[in-house]
Amino acid sequence: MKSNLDDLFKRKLENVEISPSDEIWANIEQNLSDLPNVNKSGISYTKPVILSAIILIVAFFIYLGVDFKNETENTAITAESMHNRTIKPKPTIEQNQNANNFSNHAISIRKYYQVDVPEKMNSKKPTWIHSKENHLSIFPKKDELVVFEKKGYYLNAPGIEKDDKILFSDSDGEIRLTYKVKTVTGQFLFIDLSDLEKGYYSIEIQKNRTGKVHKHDAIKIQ
Amino acid sequence: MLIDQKLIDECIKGKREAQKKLYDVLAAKMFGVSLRYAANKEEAEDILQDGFIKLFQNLQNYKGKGSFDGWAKRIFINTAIDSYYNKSKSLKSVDTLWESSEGIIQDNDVLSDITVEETMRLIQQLPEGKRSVFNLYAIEGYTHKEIAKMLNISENTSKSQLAKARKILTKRMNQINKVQKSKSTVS
Repeated sequence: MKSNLDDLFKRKLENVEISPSDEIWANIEQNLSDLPNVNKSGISYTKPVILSAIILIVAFFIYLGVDFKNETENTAITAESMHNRTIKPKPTIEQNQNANNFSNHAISIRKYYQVDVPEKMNSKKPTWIHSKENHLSIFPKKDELVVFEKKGYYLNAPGIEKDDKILFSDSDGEIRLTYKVKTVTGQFLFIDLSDLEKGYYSIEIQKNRTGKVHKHDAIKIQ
Repeated sequence: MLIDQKLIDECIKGKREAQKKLYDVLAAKMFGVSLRYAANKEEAEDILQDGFIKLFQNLQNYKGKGSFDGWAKRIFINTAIDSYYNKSKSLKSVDTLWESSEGIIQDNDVLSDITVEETMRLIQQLPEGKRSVFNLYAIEGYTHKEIAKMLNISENTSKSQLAKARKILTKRMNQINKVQKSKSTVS
């Protein structure tokens, strides 16, 4: 039941208008400039997404075919390469972002990981993940993993700023990777996760400016 | 300035000038909404910024049913709720500090005597969960059933949070009332 207290506050605050600082639009404009150019033609981006998905799937199966052929030709080499693939986690790494290599990474897939977003996490709609699917796909090349969204997947982190830190901790609570944002090219981040072993990780975003910590549920790297 | 379909279409096409126009029309109102759901100005600015990015990304989903203002406002409320979820774990300990507050409003006119900024501050000082529930129920007009779904809590929790929010606000308003009365007595 409504109380008079509710009405008092409703009357006072419901239609309040307060002008934000000019800096806000500047930040929004920068973020919009860095978004994938999906809407500028006014055409639905469903078709490009489907097309990209088909290309990625075909590329993946071509890679699998080549890899399978190598394995059947030389078992010893396969065993060695499998050994080389073992990843040892480093406590801390820092790297620069490179937001301009999207197309290169989309084509040159050498490994494939999938990060499942637990259902309960998806229902909470964390702002840094912008995906209608239940997973983010990560396509690494060389020493870099790229998290794409839609056409591939990007890690979407609106409001991220220079010197913010993203911490990945394992199930024992030990920090396995610290990503420090050195340059901000928009809300999308490219993070190298190749040093993380398979398993569950919790993520924290530490805001440098405000000192706030945004905690997220665990993700699974498999 | 009115928001017409032409302006929306141009925003969907990514025309920056149109996007700025739409921002100029909505910003002050949506900042007012964001401030109500945030604990401070900085948080409200984050909500405003993220909300506008989501709005521009999802403009093509607006089908003209209902007012554009209402549709936009819902995006900012959802953004604020997302922000609440991101912080909810770390704020639980703070939350308990407020739960013993009680009392009734001794003077309903006290709110009319204080500024919008001070009223906003009263809301912002509420613990996160109670602030969301109070905003959604008392100001936006959602039912407890709808709030429970939006915040992923039970209806009883929503009712309990609202009751606690009211107690806290009542106590704070009575304190303000006392201060104002003592000031007027002195003068």
